[in-house]
Amino acid sequence: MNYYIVTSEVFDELDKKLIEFAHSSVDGSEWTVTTTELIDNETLSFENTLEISLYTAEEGSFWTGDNTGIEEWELDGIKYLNGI
Amino acid sequence: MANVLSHINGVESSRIRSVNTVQIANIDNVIGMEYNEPSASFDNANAVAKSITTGTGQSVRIADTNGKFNFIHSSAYTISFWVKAGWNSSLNTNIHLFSSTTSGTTNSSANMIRIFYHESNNRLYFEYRSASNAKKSNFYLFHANSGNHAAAYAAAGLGSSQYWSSANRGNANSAGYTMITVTKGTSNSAGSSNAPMYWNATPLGNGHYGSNGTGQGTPNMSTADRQIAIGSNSWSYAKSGNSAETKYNDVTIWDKKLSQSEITELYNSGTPLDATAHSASSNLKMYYKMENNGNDSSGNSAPNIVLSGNSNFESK
Repeated sequence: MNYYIVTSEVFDELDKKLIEFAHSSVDGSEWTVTTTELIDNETLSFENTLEISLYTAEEGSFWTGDNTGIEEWELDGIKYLNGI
Repeated sequence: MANVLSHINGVESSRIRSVNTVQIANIDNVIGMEYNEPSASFDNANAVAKSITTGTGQSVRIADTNGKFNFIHSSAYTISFWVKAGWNSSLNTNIHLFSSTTSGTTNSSANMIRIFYHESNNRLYFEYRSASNAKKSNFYLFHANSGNHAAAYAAAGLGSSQYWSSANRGNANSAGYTMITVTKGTSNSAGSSNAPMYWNATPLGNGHYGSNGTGQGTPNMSTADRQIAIGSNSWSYAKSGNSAETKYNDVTIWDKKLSQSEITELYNSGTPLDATAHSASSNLKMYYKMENNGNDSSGNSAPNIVLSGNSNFESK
């Protein structure tokens, strides 16, 4: 699995069938993504779900409306479903 | 229909203890008029408002130290509460409506049972875990009027274009509250056949993962004492919403899987009732009316709710 932060433009081009988790920033400009797809135009990449969770917690208000960021269990438990 | 004796010599019968040393409850009739004992009063003026600030110091929580809430993967139980959404459409994360984990832990998977709403995706989840790789869940999606989601779409009444929030409470009573209920049977499954969920006593259908639900591994929970959080998660007391406080009322916990008719009875056409008068009240294990205190009203000496910080009891 690969763990990325990408812009909305890059997200639009990703293969949605390969995405396990996706969460947009509050303003919609960036996405946190876990996917089996390998990409080379990401904004940031991470080693695991814990690292990506800690990063979003540091910028909590950018990622969530309650300022808390994305918890690690969400990255494993909230399945991305294309279209819904 | 019997006549009801409302007054004796101009005094309301409810204010009279006895007549000529005879207890009022023992008087069947006076001069041919039948007397009915007045119903026990049930005040429902208040609710608990959970602060949107996170942390233990802002929590609404129950520390169970006497095994009143020790449900495991094979337990049958029901959790029901009324909720009035305070969050707005910018929440962009989840809000935990009910959460329980092992007492004293910060491990989100330790004997965890929870009901949470994921605002980002407009999904209502029920999940339980014994470990991060031993979990069962299902979710109900509210904005798609098709397939497994159609029942939830109809039950919630939120529509297809807006998610659940303080600006769009969907099918709610006149005070803006919705009764959310999960009823679990003894199978180790969060699927709708074993653990259906209800919105105002209306079934939410199969849910996304259907009658068998989904999961990983095989949860094997223990009966360890739990910490219960209302309006946040129970391991860090976060995920409490945004914008305005969300309110909760009349939390009931039962040690059986309530039937559809029993949930309909509890819903009472949108008017919360005294759960101690419910036909399944012998299975009522914990009951919190939130009438300006956190007392348990089940009669089982369950632990009380403790409020911290800006969370408070207030007008519903």
